[in-house]
Amino acid sequence: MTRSSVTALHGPRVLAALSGGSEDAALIRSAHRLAERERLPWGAVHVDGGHNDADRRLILEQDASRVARLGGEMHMVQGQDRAAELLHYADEHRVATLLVGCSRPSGWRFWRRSLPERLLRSGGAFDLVMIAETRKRPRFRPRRTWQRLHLREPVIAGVSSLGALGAAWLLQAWLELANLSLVFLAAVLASAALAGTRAAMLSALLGFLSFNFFFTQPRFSLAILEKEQLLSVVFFLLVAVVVGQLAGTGRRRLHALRHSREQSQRLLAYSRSLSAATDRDQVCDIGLTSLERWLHVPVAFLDFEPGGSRPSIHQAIPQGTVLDATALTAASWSWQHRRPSGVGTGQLDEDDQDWRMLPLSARGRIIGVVGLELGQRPAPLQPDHEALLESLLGQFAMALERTRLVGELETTRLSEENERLRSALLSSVSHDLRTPLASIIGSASSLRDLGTQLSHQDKAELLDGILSESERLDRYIQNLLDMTRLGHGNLRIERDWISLDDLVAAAVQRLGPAALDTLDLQLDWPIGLPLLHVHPALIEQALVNVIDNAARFSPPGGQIRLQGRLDNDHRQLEIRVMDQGPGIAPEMRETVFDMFHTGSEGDRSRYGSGLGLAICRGMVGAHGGSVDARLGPQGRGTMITLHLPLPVAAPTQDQETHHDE
Amino acid sequence: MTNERDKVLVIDDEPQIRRFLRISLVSQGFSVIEADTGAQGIARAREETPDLVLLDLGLPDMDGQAVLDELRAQGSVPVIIVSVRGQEAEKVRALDSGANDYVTKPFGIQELLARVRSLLRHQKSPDTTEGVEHYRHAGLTVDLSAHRVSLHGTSVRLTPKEYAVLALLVRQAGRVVTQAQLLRDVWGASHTHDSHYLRIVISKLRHKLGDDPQSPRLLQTEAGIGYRLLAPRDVAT
Repeated sequence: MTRSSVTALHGPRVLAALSGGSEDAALIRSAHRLAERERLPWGAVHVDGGHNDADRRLILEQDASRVARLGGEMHMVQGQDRAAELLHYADEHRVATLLVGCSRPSGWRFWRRSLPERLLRSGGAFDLVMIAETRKRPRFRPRRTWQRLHLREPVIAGVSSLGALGAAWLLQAWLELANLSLVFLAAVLASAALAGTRAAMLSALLGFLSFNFFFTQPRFSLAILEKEQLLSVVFFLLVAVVVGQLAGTGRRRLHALRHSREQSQRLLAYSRSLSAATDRDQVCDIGLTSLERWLHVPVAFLDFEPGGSRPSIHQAIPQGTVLDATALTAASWSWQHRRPSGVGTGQLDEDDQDWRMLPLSARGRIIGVVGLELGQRPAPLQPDHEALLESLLGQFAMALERTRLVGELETTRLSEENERLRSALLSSVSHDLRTPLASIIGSASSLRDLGTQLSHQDKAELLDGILSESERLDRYIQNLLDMTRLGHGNLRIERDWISLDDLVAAAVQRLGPAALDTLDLQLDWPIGLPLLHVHPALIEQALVNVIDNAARFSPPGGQIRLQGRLDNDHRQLEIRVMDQGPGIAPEMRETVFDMFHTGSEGDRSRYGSGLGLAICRGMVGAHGGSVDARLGPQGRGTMITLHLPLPVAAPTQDQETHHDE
Repeated sequence: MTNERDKVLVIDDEPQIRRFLRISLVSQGFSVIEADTGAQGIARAREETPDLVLLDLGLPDMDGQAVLDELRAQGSVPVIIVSVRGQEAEKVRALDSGANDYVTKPFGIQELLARVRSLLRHQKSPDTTEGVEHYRHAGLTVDLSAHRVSLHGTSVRLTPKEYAVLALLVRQAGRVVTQAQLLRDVWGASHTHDSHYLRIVISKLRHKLGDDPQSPRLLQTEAGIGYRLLAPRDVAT
């Protein structure tokens, strides 16, 4: 016996006892209403005795979802005695009001009291409310369908009885008459185990008759003379009926358990594979594949344009499945009304339909429609299949919704990132454009407005300032353009042979004298370095940015050393730019290469726009090289190293080479 | 009006900006001292006791605001904030915590010189001379001691609030007065966020003084910051 472990304090105070019958709906409604009025937590419980047929299981599934929808809790309790289990549960959870249906005790056990009666007699500490069924229905339920009689039931009963007869005939010399009945009892048990209660009952009847006919006096007649023998036969019948019933119930319960285990395993496997799916297409694929494998009919997932009503097949299995106009109409209907339509739903003139359309919705939003070509199945779906189908589709819808939410989250994150980058770009660009402009405008307005009061030297100085700041602005705009090109990935690399001497000369020239004003630039590389095969303008820009950076951080009169060397296995040329500035903190040595890493600091940073080093890395990276920042020599300043891969067979410098700049 | 050797301290990390400021200010008879970091600026302000400080808000070593606080702790030297546009909030913060005026980069030299002169003039002549108790510009005459306002010789009737706002602006003529300061001084500390009061009074003042907000001769709006009553010299820009 297992019970759900709910602490008494938080358990339902209003409890509906569900049976899986038609009165459940009324019970749930009443319990909910009562609980609302009293402002108490409520719930429902079902005592599962192991003999719920498919109909009852379907009703219970619906009950569970109804209870959940109305905010209650549904619990299942395993046990044979409904009244006792209910009492125990109510006691344990301190239930204040128990609602039960007024159903009659089941069929043949006429001597049993009804459930309400038994609950009343046991006198639990709760109010008992009996709910009459609201739906009219015949007293004896014609719905209680006998499962179809299989041929194997009478056959097994007959064969086992015949076997028992033979065995008893052989054993009659050694066994007393009363003991011979045990042989027939064995046949009853065997029938029960193999074919269920009905076969057992048949076997009991056959056993009774043959025992009576062949073994009691007078033999070969159904008449019985001795009172003792009559008792034996009657006892046999009684024992056989009871044992057969019990064994049959055991078998049925085993079947039910196996069945529900299969269903839950199918559901589990399904939800596991769905939860592993990362996008909509994968979810569709997994969902449809499992449906197809299970039902063996073509399945399709239909999608609708936002606002439109024309369905389009998002995915179908087997591929290339087509839907006729009727099916598409059904799909549109289901989309609009959010209700299933087509085969087995009673909607839209079932006879013309081959498909059943089932809308998928999550959180009140319709996501799509799943079509099943159930017309291809010989028989309609079993009620428990319907229940499983509903669960599978529920999971399907949830998985689709999950992927949609994940996608949305990702989009939001990306646009936030973009927004952040954009504002960093704007503040950085505006600052970097405005700083040289401030000098230019200030100097130019001084020249115009105060011209007469300025000495020659002052005027020259102001003009120099205007020029050098204009050059700085130009470099910055070049960087911006380069960055745009790098960002769009349409940077065309036109390689040419060029020596390090030429590259450095061009870079220093572009920086202009003002940038390196008071600084001491030292160039240091061995003669005969191999030529580089690079896009000269791009690498020159990379060098300009690194040297500009070093100059900006150098103390007045500081030294900038530019060193060129081959790496150990002669595959790369290393260009090192070392300054005597404040250096870069170890944790910043990677982030200085991020675009706009200084953006958040705005005006306060001397790193400039944060574009220079990022562009340097981009340019060198485009050539298959790399750039890193390290502590300068003697633990002072910064050393930025450009690693440029050399071509396999590099011409040496004495071959005449050119680059057109 | 300017003392021959007024000493101006320029705190800015951009050498080119310091250079043109130095040349221009020296040509106008100021003596200039420079600092390229906040720490250096504070040190030089202590050593040299300048008559005026030009302070860039974007300094590499410390927040311009912190420099301002330090300068205020040392004394009441007039401070003009020099910063790029887009830092309105910072400018307001700086003005509210004691800066005297601001110019936005990029700026023309005349604009800066007008601000510098206006501040130094005010500094030299506390409350006694013309320009503080008396204001005369573009047909408007304000005599604070006599509580009289007249436009082209005709006296103008102002409500007490209108007069209070105008008087505050007259006392700071030529310099920006922040919205928060106007609200605090005229309406009280609990109204520093009720900017609509101020908007209404300003628009009425403009109407009564015949000033056009599009091309103001008197009341200039400093967007996001406050208002400035133009002084005779400002208009010369």
